[in-house]
Amino acid sequence: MRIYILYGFGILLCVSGIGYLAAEYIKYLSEPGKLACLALTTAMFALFGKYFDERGW
Amino acid sequence: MTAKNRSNLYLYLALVCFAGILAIFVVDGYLGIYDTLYITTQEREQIIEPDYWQQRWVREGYEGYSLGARWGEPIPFRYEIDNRSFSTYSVNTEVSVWKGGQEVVVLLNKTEISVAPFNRAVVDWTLRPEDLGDSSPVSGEYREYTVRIRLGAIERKIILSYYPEAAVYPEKIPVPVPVPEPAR
Repeated sequence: MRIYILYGFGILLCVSGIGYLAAEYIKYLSEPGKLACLALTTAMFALFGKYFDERGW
Repeated sequence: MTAKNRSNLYLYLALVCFAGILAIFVVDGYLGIYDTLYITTQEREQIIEPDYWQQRWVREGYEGYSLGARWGEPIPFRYEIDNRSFSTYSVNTEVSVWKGGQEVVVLLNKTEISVAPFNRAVVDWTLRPEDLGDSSPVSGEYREYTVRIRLGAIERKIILSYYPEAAVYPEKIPVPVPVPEPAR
């Protein structure tokens, strides 16, 4: 049980770190660049979802 | 297509999306209009990079880049505009000096600049104290002016602090020392 708490904590730190970096980088992007990044991020998460779905997770 | 191949295809496509995001960060970060300002005062060249104006504390109300200069010296400015886009960048440039919300002098009056794609253009001008129409500041006095550079919708502000040409120290008056009276 303790190991899952540690995993959860690690994942939370990774996600918040990536979110912070993305927020910092995105400030310097143009509006079309932001839109393209949003579309690609959505597609990336959808494809990852499909990948794990296909693997029976 | 087998189920394993299909799942791998989803994974590869997801990785391509991730690579696309990184490519946008790099390419979009490179493209754009970049302006660099070179100012020489007291034999030191100061370079104000485009990143300076992007800092949060500058954007949120801090009034420009501060610079010290000695009264009497001409201050050469070199403004470099780097057009990293696929179209020609044409813009009107205006440079003026302000004090207390009043325009003192116009150094460049709506000069049109045209920069070819992926090329650079340089605009030079010199600010001389006689342009300001003011006398030299007295000892201990600082006189401040704002140099406004307008490049279309972009505005850059430089705060110039002038101090006297030569330090003049007040003349020292010796304190009279009481001379003791000779003993009788």
